[in-house]
Amino acid sequence: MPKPRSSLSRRRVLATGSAVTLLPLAPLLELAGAPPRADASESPMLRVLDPREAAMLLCVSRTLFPHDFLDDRQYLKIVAALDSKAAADKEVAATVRTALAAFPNDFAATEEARREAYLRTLEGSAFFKLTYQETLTGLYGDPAVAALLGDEGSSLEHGGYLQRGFDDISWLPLDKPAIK
Amino acid sequence: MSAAARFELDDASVVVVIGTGAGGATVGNELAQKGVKVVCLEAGPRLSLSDIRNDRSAMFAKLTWLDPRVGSGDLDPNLPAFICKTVGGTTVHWAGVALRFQSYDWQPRSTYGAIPGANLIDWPTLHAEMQPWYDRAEKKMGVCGSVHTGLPRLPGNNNYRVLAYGAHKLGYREVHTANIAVNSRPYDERPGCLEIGFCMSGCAIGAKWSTLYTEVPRAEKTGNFELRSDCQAVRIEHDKSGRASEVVYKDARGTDQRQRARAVCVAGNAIETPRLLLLSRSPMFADGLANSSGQVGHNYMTHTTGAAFAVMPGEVHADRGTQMAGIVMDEGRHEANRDFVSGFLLEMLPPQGVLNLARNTQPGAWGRDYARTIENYRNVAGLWIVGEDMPQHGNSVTLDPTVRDAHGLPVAHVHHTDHPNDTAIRARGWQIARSIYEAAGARSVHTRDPFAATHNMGTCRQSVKARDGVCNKFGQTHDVRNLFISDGSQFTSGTTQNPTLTIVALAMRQADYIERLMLRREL
Repeated sequence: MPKPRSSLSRRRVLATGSAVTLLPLAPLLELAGAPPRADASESPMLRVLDPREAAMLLCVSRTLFPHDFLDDRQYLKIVAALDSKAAADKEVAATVRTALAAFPNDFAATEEARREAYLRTLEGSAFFKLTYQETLTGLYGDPAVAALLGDEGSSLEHGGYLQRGFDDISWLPLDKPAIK
Repeated sequence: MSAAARFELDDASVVVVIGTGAGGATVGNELAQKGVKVVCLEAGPRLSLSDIRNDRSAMFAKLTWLDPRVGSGDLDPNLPAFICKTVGGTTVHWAGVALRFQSYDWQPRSTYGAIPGANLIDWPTLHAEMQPWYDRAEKKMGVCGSVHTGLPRLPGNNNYRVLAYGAHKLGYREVHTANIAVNSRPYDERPGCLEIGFCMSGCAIGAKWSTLYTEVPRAEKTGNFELRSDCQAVRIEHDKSGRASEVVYKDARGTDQRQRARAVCVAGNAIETPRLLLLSRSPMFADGLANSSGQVGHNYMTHTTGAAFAVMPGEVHADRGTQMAGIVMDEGRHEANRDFVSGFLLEMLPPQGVLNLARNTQPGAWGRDYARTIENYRNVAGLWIVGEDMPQHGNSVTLDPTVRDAHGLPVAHVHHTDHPNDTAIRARGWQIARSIYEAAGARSVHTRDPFAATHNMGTCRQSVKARDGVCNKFGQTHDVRNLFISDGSQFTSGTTQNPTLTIVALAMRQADYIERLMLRREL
């Protein structure tokens, strides 16, 4: 994975208003190997984070909860959510940027085991708690992801499971095992 | 609802009931049925069945008491307990398990002997005298598996089938879909269960008993009962003779109102009930109302819980169907030769969606192995341990010295640490849970610590002697004869059984007692 480089210095990003620092995530999708969207104007915009930071966060969230069947777009939603939080709260922005600045430069390019080992050293930090919470709820709280994992969601409108398999288990022997 | 009564604030003939959960709404309805005038205050809003959705996060936000509280010891500092703030109280959330205490449960001190560190006493109530009240409570609530309703037990869902298979393989015999107040067929003008699977987010069809759509509307139909929702009691006043005389509450606008009262029944759950008594201190009751014993807020009990989630070799879809209709009861009794007194039940518990599976299986876990566990959501089976929690004086609800609520009043500080007996019960429970799922072929079993407690008990306990507790066997406080504890706060011990059936049975008996006092002009 090529290392993204920021076209804006951190100082300049911090000094200018969010309106002029919006960066589309679409190029990141390419960097991350995901197919570009048909309509780039729909892609979320970065308001605070620079592309290097966004790419790092993408790797952080995927390392926390790696699901190979999910493409990077799903994880980029978490990056976008963190970016929004950072835009709304300077403390969050500082927490994220300070932590990421200390990341090994090759973090995004290195293998998963090494990424995981590095993140283990951050457990308990404000940055870790923030990215962990955001990834956990952003990923599994997304009905689309939950559905892919088998979460069947609301059943009320389908009349519950009385006629739809509440007791349809197939692999367990039907008979009670003999009591010793 | 059109018949619902309206009473004046200065009407001193009404009984004021505080809370609309299992205790409050039941005592309120029973009194109203007897012709007693009742004003019922509820801190939360009134929802209807159409507000109940199969959406766990949304319903959690809608139902839960999220006003600030402080937890310490082994509790979550921000959410020490998981109880509801809504008409119906925690009966909107409960899973429906309705079990009677066993005969020895009423005499824990005599049965277990002296346990160092535990503040055990026997209940003033006897097993035999409670049986008719249990009969009536089961009938009222529509308990499956009770001869008093004729309702058969529910069919077992997939999660139950896994639990039962493993438990039978280990030789357990008392394994079934539980005595549960979820209709296995239409009963009492409510429909049969459709196996929807979101019981604890509120039953959207009313198949599960909840006071929201049973006791409260029925009480209103009598014309003797006025519900005031969004009205939080903040103080109980007394007259010069020391009798409770009026209840001060914040109405929906946050304005103070004062309702005069003939008697007051407090049923705000084992956290808000002692808080209210402590907030009601006065020159005559310097340590809080009805607290001459110093026991108000103390002996706070939850259950000794823990959970286990197992990844099975095939699909389980454990979130389909009634959430807690499955129980193993064999370990739920006191035996002399174990390394703990009392025992524990194993009750079925589904993962409750992918997000909760990720949150709860191993809180804080992450990485590829954990992600793989979550990917096995379809194959997950789960259960919950419900064991007796020893009463300890230091486990308590007190007024927090610094944190205040929106009304500027000190919030409840809830403190709980495990007794060594609790720790031993949990360890054994986890071990049995693991064995059950392994016997059924589990690929992995994950055990975890307790969730924020929905079973909260004991902070205004019944006692024979006034110095040992707060109220007598009818929930009448030792110090203030027209003040009653009507919820799980009056529990002298926690037992291994889920508390709701006993709360309802005690509330029915209390209403009967109050009526008798009134007829004798003693109230």
